[in-house]
Amino acid sequence: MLKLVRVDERLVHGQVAVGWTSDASANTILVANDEAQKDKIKAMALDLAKPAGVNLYIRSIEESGPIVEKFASAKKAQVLVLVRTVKDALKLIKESNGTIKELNVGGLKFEDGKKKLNEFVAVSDQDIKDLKEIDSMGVKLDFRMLPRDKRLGLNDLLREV
Amino acid sequence: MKNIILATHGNLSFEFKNTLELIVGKTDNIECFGMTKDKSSESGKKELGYLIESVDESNLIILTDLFGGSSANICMELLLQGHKFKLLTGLNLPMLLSLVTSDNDDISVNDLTNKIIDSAKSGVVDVNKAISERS
Repeated sequence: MLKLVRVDERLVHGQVAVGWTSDASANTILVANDEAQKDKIKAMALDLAKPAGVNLYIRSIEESGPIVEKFASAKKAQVLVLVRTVKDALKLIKESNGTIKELNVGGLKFEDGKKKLNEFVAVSDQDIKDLKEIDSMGVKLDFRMLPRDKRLGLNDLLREV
Repeated sequence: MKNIILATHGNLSFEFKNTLELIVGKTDNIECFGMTKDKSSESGKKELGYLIESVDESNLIILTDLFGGSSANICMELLLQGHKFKLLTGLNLPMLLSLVTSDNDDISVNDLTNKIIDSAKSGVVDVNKAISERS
């Protein structure tokens, strides 16, 4: 089953490898990212550094759609899916046939042209549009860096701007 | 949940706790003790003793940074005097992360500390070797 689908600009790192993996008792991580899938070095580094006892798959967004669908109904695989951007998340949600019901938004780093919604989420206008589209598709948005943090919804964040 | 005390040189224990919370979020069962330059061994002993006595020792794990260091020595003396807490040395971040993510009310102090000792050791990796074994 899908334990968590997360947008995180850093993909697999300490918070994910330790915090979320143990919280979700995940035994499988799917990195859905076109660059990582093409970049052999990046893929190898991700694989070497994966948490113990976890199967790691690195696939393009397009390939990931049917894989997510399959994982959603799998019994043994407890799956954590990671994407790097809101745009990728929207694409994956569309390609996985309604199996993604909830999207966790973790780190979206600030860069030029983006505005900060809170201390860990910075978005462009396009991101906001995409998030609203995700929301309107009935996918529950959960803005949370760490499992123990308070869950925030899209409205909680947009209200603060 | 176990009671945890991190006891180290300088301010290391406080930074271990800060960094831990950066990764797993807030915790409420960890106390820190730092043997800083300005503390005499007597006042250090008093402070640490007070932290230890304020919790249930049968459920207490103390992690120290260095076997033979002052915090570890103070704790070792207390054990020799008959105290019952669990004491480990060689604190590192994998050990601490493992402790916080593996702890629950069903796991005994000994099972938990055995587990985190493994985590502490397997967290030390010769990455060059890992890469060359891979390719």
